[in-house]
Amino acid sequence: MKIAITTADSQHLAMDTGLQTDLLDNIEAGIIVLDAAVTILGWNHWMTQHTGLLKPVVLNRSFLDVFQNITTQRISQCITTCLRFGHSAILSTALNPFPLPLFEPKRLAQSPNAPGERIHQSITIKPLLDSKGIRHCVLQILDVTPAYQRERLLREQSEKANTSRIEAEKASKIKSEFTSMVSHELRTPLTAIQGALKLISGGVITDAPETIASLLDIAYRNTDRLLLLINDLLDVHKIEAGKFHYDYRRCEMLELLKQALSANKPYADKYAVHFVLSPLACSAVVDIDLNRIQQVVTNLLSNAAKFSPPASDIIIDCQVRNTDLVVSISDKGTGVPLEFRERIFERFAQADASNTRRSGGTGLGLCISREIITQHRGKMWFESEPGHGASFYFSLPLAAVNLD
Amino acid sequence: MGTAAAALSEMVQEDISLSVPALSFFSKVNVARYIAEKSHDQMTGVSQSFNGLISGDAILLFPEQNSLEIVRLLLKESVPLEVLSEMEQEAFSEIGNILLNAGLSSLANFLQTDLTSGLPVYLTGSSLDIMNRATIIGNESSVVLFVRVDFGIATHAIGGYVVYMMNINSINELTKNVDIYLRGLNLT
Repeated sequence: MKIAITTADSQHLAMDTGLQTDLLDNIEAGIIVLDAAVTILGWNHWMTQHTGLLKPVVLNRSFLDVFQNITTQRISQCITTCLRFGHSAILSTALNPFPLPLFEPKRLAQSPNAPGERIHQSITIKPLLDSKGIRHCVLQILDVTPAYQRERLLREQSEKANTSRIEAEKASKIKSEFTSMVSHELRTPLTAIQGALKLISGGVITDAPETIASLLDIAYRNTDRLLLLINDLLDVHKIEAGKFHYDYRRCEMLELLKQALSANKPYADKYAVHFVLSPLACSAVVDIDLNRIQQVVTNLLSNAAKFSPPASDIIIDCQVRNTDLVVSISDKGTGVPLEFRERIFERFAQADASNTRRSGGTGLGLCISREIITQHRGKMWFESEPGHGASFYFSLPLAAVNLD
Repeated sequence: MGTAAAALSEMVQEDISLSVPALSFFSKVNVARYIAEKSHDQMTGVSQSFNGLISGDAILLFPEQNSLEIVRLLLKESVPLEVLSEMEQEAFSEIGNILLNAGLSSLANFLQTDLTSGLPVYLTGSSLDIMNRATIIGNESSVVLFVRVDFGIATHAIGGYVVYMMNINSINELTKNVDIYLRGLNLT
């Protein structure tokens, strides 16, 4: 076969077969030439390197015989269309993963039976005419594995950068909300304390001991509120700094719950609700930091009381489930709004601003409580439907003595 | 178009529909104006030469946002970048290749002749810019065959255009055959 090459001054030079073969074998791409019957007429060294198939083995054989299982694939359809209508086609690596069984040459040479994964391929199919004008087609195949891997890496890095940016924006928003919340929550009780004490010290109130007592009570309750906020902030700070220490002791959970209900009764009275220990609550021993778990129970009881209608019951239960003790606190309040569910355990999360104003709270209680339970190798979760109350649960591993 | 839709459907395992709601002869400038009126400034295109009884360049044009949407839907990429990567450009070229070859088959059937095609070339820019950058063969005439294409993937409907740019002889050949066809239908 001879190919005519035209020089600048129109002299035709014939390239001999050896040079043609050498040319094709030095191209850094796979070249396959097919006739109208899809018989392989041309096959270069790149193809041998990437398939392990020698030229004499494949020449004059059907392409569909050499590469079986591709008759229903796009590459086969493109070859047919090219030979019939002269349409060129491209098979991108993204839409056609590994159309042909081609492998990395070194791995194929070392392990012909286990050459690893196929290379990523980019294939073009173009019509060719021979000297008689009969249509053939040529497939050119490129190994695009390095480019593919580079792009995947770039995409992953881009996604990570995007995630970091979103998290940074979220953190910035939380900090900003925190600053706003802290300013309000600190200012409000301080204003009340200042106002009450100013009246007393200014001698405005002279002969009304009940009024003085009431003002002092206002001042006291607000210092209490301030202390709670400061304590919560310190707890969060210790958690973040890894300095939140636990003093584990063996405790009987039912007894702890009874003590917590008793200690928090004034809270129930304040909101006119009833804390009720379930008659089915069972007893079990756990290894816990007593003060921290009481902190958790207090937090859950106070939340339930705040969001419950007056005269309603808040049920506290305690059950053994497999090797865990599960405590639940269920109220009949407004329930957890759908839009708040995802972030209820996050720092400074509040259902909305109006609830903060009405119900008080720092937005840190549930975050701290969950951290305490997690450190005790337990879990905290909730179930709620808006308008139908909420049940908060936490689990703690049973002490070994229960399991004997 | 049915064959093209079936080919794409099988490739990406999604229901794909293709329809051609409108087809007309326009000047190049009016095509650019029409597309600009749809507020499509930045376009993504795939250009393919064709040869035979008629010759020229077939150019598939999508507004850039639509081309990103098509690639994202077909490749099922979860986080699309704002511009197409090299692999995605190649994939878009293949999509264009399938659609343009289908269109050329329709033209070839209509003319009862063979039309061969070259490999697709990826282009970006304004629609006029892309049309001007097509090969010289197709630039002789200012008249183009303008086709609107609607591309449907699952519940998404994405609109694009195909422009056939031809030399004077090819335009004359095509219009001659259209006249014959219309006379055959007693519409002229």
